[in-house]
Amino acid sequence: MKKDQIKKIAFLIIGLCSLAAISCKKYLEAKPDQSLTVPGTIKDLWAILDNTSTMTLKYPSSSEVLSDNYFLRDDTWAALSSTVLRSQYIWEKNDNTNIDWLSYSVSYASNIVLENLLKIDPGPSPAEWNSVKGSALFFRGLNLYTISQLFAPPLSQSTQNTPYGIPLRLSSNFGEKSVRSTVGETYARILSDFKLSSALLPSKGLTKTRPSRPAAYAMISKTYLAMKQYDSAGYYANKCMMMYDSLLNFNKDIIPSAAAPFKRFNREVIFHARSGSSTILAPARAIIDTTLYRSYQVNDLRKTAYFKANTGVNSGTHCFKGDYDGSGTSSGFVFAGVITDELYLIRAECYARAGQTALAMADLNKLLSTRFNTSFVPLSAVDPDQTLTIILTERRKELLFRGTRWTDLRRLKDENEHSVIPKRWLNGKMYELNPNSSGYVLQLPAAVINLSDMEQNP
Amino acid sequence: MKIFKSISLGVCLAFLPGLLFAQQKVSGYIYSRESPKSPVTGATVRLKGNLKSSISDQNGFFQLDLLADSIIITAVGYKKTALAIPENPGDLLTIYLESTANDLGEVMVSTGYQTIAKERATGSFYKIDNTLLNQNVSTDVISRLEGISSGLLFDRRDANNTKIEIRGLSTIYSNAQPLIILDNFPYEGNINNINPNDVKDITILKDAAASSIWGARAGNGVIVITTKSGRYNSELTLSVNANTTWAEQPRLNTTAIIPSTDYIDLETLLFNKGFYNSRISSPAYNALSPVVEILANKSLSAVQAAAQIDVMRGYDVRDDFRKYIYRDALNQQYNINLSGGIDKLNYFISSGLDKNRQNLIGNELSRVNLKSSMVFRPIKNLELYADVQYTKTATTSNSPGGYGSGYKIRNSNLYPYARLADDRGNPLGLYTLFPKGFTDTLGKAKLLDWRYIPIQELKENDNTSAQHDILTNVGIKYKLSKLLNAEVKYQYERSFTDSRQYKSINTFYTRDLINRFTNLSQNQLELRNPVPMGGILDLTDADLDAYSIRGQLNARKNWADKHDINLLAGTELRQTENIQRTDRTYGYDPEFISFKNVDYINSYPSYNNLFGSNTIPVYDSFKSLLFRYVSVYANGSYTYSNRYTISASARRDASNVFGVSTNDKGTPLWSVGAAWDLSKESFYNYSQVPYLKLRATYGRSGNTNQAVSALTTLQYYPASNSIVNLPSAQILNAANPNLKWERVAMLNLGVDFAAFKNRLSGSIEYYRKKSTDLLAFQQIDFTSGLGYVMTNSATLTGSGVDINLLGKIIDGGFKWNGSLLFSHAAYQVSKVQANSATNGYASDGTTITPIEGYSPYELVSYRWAGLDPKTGDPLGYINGKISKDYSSLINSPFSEQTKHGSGVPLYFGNLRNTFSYKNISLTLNIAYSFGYYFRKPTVNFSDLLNNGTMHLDYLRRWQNPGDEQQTNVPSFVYPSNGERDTFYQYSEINVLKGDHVRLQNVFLEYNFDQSICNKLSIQNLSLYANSANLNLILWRANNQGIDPNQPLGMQPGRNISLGLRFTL
Repeated sequence: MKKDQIKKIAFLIIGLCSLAAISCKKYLEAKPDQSLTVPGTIKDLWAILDNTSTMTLKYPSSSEVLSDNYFLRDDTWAALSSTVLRSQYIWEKNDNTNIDWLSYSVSYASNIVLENLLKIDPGPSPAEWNSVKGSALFFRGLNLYTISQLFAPPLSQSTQNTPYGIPLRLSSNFGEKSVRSTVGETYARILSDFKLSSALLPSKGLTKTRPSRPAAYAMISKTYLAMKQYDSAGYYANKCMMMYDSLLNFNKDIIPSAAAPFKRFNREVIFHARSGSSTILAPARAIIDTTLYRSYQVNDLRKTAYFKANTGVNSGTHCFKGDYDGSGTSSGFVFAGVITDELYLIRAECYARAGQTALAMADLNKLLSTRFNTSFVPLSAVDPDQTLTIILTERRKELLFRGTRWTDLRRLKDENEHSVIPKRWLNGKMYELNPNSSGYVLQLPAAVINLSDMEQNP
Repeated sequence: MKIFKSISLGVCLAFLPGLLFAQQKVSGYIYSRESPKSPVTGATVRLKGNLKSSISDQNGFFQLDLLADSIIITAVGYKKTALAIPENPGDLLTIYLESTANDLGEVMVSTGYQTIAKERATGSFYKIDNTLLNQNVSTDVISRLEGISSGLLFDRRDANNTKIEIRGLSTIYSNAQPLIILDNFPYEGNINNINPNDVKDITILKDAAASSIWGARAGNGVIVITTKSGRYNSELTLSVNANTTWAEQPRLNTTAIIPSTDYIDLETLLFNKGFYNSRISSPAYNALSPVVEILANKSLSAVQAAAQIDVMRGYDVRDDFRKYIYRDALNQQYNINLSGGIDKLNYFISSGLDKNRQNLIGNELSRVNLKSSMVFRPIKNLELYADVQYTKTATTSNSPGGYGSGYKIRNSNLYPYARLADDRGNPLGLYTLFPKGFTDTLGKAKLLDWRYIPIQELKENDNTSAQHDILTNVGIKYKLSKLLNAEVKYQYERSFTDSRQYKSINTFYTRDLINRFTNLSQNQLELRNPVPMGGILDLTDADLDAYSIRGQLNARKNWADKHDINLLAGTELRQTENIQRTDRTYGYDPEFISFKNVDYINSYPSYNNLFGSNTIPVYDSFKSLLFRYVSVYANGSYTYSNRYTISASARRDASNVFGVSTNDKGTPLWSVGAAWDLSKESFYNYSQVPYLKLRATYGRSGNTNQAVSALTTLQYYPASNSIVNLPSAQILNAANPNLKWERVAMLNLGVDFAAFKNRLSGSIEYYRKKSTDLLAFQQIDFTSGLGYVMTNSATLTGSGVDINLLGKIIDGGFKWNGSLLFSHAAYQVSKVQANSATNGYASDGTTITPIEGYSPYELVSYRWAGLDPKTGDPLGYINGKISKDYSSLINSPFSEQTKHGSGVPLYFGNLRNTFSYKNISLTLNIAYSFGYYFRKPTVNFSDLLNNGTMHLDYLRRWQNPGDEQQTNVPSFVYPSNGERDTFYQYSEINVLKGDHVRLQNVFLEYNFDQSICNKLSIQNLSLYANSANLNLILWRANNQGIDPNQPLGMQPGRNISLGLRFTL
């Protein structure tokens, strides 16, 4: 081969190589998996928030497990495969609480949305952009609220500055170390997330799994209620109800005797969310507290809509079927969203606590008239104290398997006249949850303590 | 006579040179040494010092005027041979040529980029030829490597996922499988498509110098498969190979099932304790076993109940599985190939058929392979090749599954007294969703049968899949000059897989789904049966479309018989695209190919609200994956005086997997090596060891992971996945801007030798390996919203030894050849950012868990302090004190746990002995593995109660004081305590040594006499028999009779193959 031939070949190779190098970059930018994407548009962020399996269906169920709406037969308790459920049933300490903690993935998704949203230009009509931001803040607030009701002590003068608040993750950076906030900071962050979101959210979401402004007001109200700041709770309940206060009339809107009387996304639902299924709460196991069941009057349609008679060894007792997921709770769900009936009860309670008996009773009677059959006679009360007692009794009877009972037990435990000491009987022994018991606050998961060096609850 | 001839020749030579020489001729036949009956056509026979030459004809015949005292014969594919003309040139000569390929001194190894003489290689190559591969009869090619490859470990602990490791693990969570090269390119198709009869040889590239030419995918080692091709100027030959393999049913008696009578006693005990009460009282959400249902039936008297139950004590569900689900497997394999060549063309055409009747009744596989390979040499210096391989694989999988897979009674395993058929063989149903009593009342005959009837399933299932795969290789090679040649290779693979799963209305799946959605209160058909009456048809199309193109320049110069330079450089572009589509049709009627539409949007209440309200399941899905790689590479070696060789290679890869920024960070992967043939030195005079070569290499290769990305990525789900019918997305990957490719660095030192007149030969290699930047899960406090993230955070270091020895122990009429393979591969995690092992960690060594300072397969246990002699409670240690605090025991710090060692053998290999006498030869291949542990399965009472997970240890449980002398199985307590059970299951008492020696493979061959072959006018004929599984353990360290290869599952049945091979 001659020298010029070699030169020609060399040029050819160099030419081909440089051509390859130029087109190479583009060639290698192809997406490896068509179903994968890097979040870059409003649509992508909505898709994250619309992922119902993370954002809607996995809130903790422990709030109901710890409550006194139900009990287990001794043999049912013994047959439970989960030791943590067995301990929670009798308010025993157990730090295997990972399942509840998993709902922090809601905060993570919200933070991802908030961070990526900053890279997107809101444009001239920022309604969608605001709505995404408001939704993400709402979801983060909801997560922090549900976690705080299990893992942080109730807010009080004495706990406000203690370091037993929950960790407040405000960024998706997994490298950041978790630290506990004070109890006061916990509630401040929950309120600020909800309040910010209320200013951004539309009055109605595209679906009931998307947050809306009334839902945000409702959550602010629920948070203030848990903080025992009743004026504010009433104020925000009212703000929510000004926008949405529709009720189902059990006489005509539902068939109380049906296996699952409440359709998913029915018109009482402002915002839909629920826990994962819980074995202990499944109707096959959880028997409704017999005193509670007996407290429903004969003309109370909830008696049929909420409960089903048990058969077999449990016959003579009842299980719960009144969930708002439309599924008849075959798996034991706890509703974690917002339903209008709760708002009526919050506003009524707050009126009562403010001494406005008439307004309080009006709210209560409006709600109850939809729950009783036509023979319902509106209730009346003589003084604010009696009003409050009636409202709290009705609250107990209305809100079952909603996670609210646990928060109520926590906030009322120090009010002598309204406090209840929950009790369990197991294998002939009685267990009590006294007001000063550490059982009111769950242990943080051992795995989280190990990895983060956060302080465990006492 | 002889004397006269030599005198006459002498006279002639002396006096009449011209005249006599012109009249004398030399003639003869040329044959190949390896197949003495096949003539070598086209060989050039030249007189020494003369231009006169002749070419052998198709019979190998040549004739030349005798003008010199010796001739030189050259032929493509054969060694150049010089020959002195014998005293009587008039006699016909018979000359046998040595094939270059078959030359022991010139073993050629292929890297997929080039073929090099092993003698001049610096790297670690292990070559397995066709003969050895054929001693393992199998449908696929990879399993044939077991027991005959150095440094290769088959990890079969997970029966459904056999893993192969070359020189130990090189990665933690990325793909750990070696890269498989088929005919120069990475093989992207289904590895089971390759017809083992078409394989010429396999080379395993073990060290960096051998494998780093494959760059970012070579970190786990490379297996290079080369298929057969024809030879220029060779006779047409036809070879046939046929065999049949028979395999017993799997050994169901090795499952740890609890005898029916004991299981029934346990159920009775639990019933009396009230364990089933909540299940009995809510039959809508629970299933019950027949015994519990009888016990709960208040209309039966105690005597009646006992009588009914006693009947069941006599049943063993395994009997029915043996009879109705399993059978002996029968695999047939036929192969025929044609090969040959003329001066300008060679060809190889092959056709194979495999028909496998598998152990599970209803499961079958058939495979057809066609291969055609042509090489042309149309003009001097130019070579073209075209190779097409077509594979069609058809599978039928109608079995409802083997014992232990499926057959769930709600969430619980099948009870041991279940029956699949009655005494007359009529199929029986299982009440898998609700108790019998409840099921029978449902729907009052307006619903479809709600039982699961396994034998009917087998009959009704109609699941088939057909895969068509076409693999095309074309290439051109042009010799630009004596020095330089250029080649372009192109490979294209296209594969279509059509799977069809038709679930007729008689299958449980369809009946169940229709029933669930039935609403008897509705009269309108679409509302009464939202899932229409009729079958359900699922169709899946999967397409693979892959191409590779490579341009390469090769240069070779050899001068002054001292210097030999070999260089190559090239660039490569590859793309693999996988597209998959699945769709479902409801109400399908195969007779009229009609179907019905369903409403996927609205939710329908389930029958009697047994399952809440649901939307009709959507099974349609799409998948589209695209992987692209661009690489440049170069490789060179220089040999001086046939003694000293140095080599170097470099490669740079880029891909679309990680994102562009990661490519930019990639450093080239490279290797360097040196070899020294000591025995060629003039000072070397150790005659006992005539061949001695030293080698050393160092280099880096890489590893990719297609599942991670540097950016936050979302996976989209279709709207049908969501309860609100909106498209949704899951955050798959947390943003990790620091992502890089994994790197594997390896140092290899080796000695090759031959001693004692080549009676003993082999090699000894030592290596060190360090895999850095390995992607590993880093456990994160879940408050962040993530339990784990993948970061380039781990390092694995390992070292080992590979020894291969070949010995001709007895050489004579009776021959005994031995081959010893020994490998030592030890590795440990030397760095991991966050230990997986936190408090309470215990493991069974089967899954990779990175813990700093330990093997990724480390077995870790709770310390064991025996059984409490009073109660039979298991005891452990907390802070050195004996304790029963199980929740603390199962959370005890890692430092206090027992660390046993690796779950995979540290020392393993084979001893293969071949004995042959006359026409018969017998090969016994013994496999050994040492230095590892396994966790023996045992009873976990909580799992037994809640999931029906059985183990015979239940019978060995502590029952009375004193039992602790004989047993380590704790007492059974009710309510069961999951923490107590976990403690016992993961305590050190259940860890045993895995060391064992087994007879892995037996191969017996009979070669018919040449005289018989000649009579049949064939070249050779042989019959052979093989068994690749005899379940024959010669020695084991555990005294409990457990096969450490199958600690969890049941033993497979033995197998035997019979076959016949001949060449025309």
